[in-house]
Amino acid sequence: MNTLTDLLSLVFIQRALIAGLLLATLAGIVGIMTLIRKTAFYGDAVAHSSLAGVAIGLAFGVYPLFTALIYSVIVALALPSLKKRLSLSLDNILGILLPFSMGIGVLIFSLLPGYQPEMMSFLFGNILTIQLQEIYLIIGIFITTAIIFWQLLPQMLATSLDEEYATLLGLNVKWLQRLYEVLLTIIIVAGVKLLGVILINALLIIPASAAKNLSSSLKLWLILSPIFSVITVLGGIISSVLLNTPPGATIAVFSGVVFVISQIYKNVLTFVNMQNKSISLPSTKTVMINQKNNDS
Amino acid sequence: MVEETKNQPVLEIKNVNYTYPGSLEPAIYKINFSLQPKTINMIIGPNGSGKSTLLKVILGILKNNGKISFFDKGKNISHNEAHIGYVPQKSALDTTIPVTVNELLSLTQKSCKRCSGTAESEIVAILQKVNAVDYRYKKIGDLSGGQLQRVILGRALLHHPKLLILDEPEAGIDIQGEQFFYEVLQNLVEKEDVTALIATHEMEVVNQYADQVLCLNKTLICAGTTAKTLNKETFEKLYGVHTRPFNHTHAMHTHEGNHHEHAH
Repeated sequence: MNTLTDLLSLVFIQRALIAGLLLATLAGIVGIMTLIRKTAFYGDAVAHSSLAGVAIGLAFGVYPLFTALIYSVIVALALPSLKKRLSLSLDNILGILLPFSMGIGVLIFSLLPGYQPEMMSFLFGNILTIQLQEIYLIIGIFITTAIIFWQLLPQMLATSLDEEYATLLGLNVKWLQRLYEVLLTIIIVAGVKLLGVILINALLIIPASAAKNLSSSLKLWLILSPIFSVITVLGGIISSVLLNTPPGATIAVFSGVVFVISQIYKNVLTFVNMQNKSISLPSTKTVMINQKNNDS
Repeated sequence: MVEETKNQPVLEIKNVNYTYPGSLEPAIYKINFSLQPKTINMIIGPNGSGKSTLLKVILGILKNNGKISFFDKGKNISHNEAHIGYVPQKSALDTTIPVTVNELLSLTQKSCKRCSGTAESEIVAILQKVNAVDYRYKKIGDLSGGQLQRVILGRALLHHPKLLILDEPEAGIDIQGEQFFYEVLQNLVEKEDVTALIATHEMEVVNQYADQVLCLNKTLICAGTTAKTLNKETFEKLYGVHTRPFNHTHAMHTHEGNHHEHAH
């Protein structure tokens, strides 16, 4: 108990927990839209692309998350036009852009003089190195995104659920789609320090998938997903400090465990429900006997 | 009542053509017809005849250079004012998503610029119209094909549509569900001042419910009542030489030939 209290009194742990709490909440909601839209690979590609932006920033002495954000937003906004001009599927373009951008990033890192510890930090994340100005940035992103969700969440969800029908409803589907993509990109880039470009997608996909397993409605899903996301991040950070393991990887494994538990719970629940149904239904033999009695 | 509004169509289509980008042949061409209010109109034709394309052109999803006019009691109105309701061929809804019937309709209500309000009572009223109020709090994934299709019909009614467009609504529904769906639809057309335009393959349904049949094979081959259109000549033009409709007078199947018998 003392160890935990001591941990929480450390400034870098406090920053990690605040950043983790805010980003996890946002990722929990955006993750739902990612699952509805079936665009898990999109998040992965944008995250990996951001490494090029990080490397460009470091090469020119600019704050790397800023250049990563610019680079990734440009990639995200260019995707629909690339898809149209090249007549390729989105998956196909992402499959080209992901290794290309990541390759650019690694090449630039290799050209920078001396050892580059930042590269490993951006690849796998290190939430414990979060600075005060990054906390301010994350708070800004949280407030902006929360206002957008407050105003537009029903429209964004309606578009995610059925794009064609949303067009018929008179919604500006293209604009709402770009908005989702930009928000997703911002959250991913802001979360790069948390989990790194390789693992950040885990925060978007796994807690939302675990919450989906236990949700009987969209409302419940929207409540459970951020909760699972926060549990995952906070649990992962504390475990990583206590076990002296890399925080990004620990959070990813922790979220995987949460998903497995939710899946087991869902399977047990389905089994019990099926058992109850089969008990409440009369057996074929009983029905036949009743039929026979009625006939006679 | 229907007689009074005759010759004042709700929809008039003149010389509509559509060619998909990159295609050399038109998907539909020289389409002309009109729909009378409070009628059930059914488009029949083989696969690839342009049924879905025509519906999407009317919906405004695909742009064309023909003339599509909407009317309300004889007055020309815009596409937006026409309040078109749409029931797609196969709903794009992913039934693994944990969304309840109530949430689906509520999201539509909140996102719809043309819907009249956001009241829960309206959702209940619409679900009652389509006999789906019992499933209000059920997940869409827990519904049968027929139940889900009635919910999708309910979603289309949130617009208070004058014109309902349905693209093979019976796809994936069992016969009992299909019958129930069309009974609900017929009731809506009779009581709610709605006109329905339906693309279908089900000849029994056409025979039973259609006020007007539109035979489409890229262009309109015939249009008129079931008695006028459901005959051997039309079917041969639409589906090939070895097809013949069932005898609709006696509602019996009297198919001949080996293929395209049901136009499936």
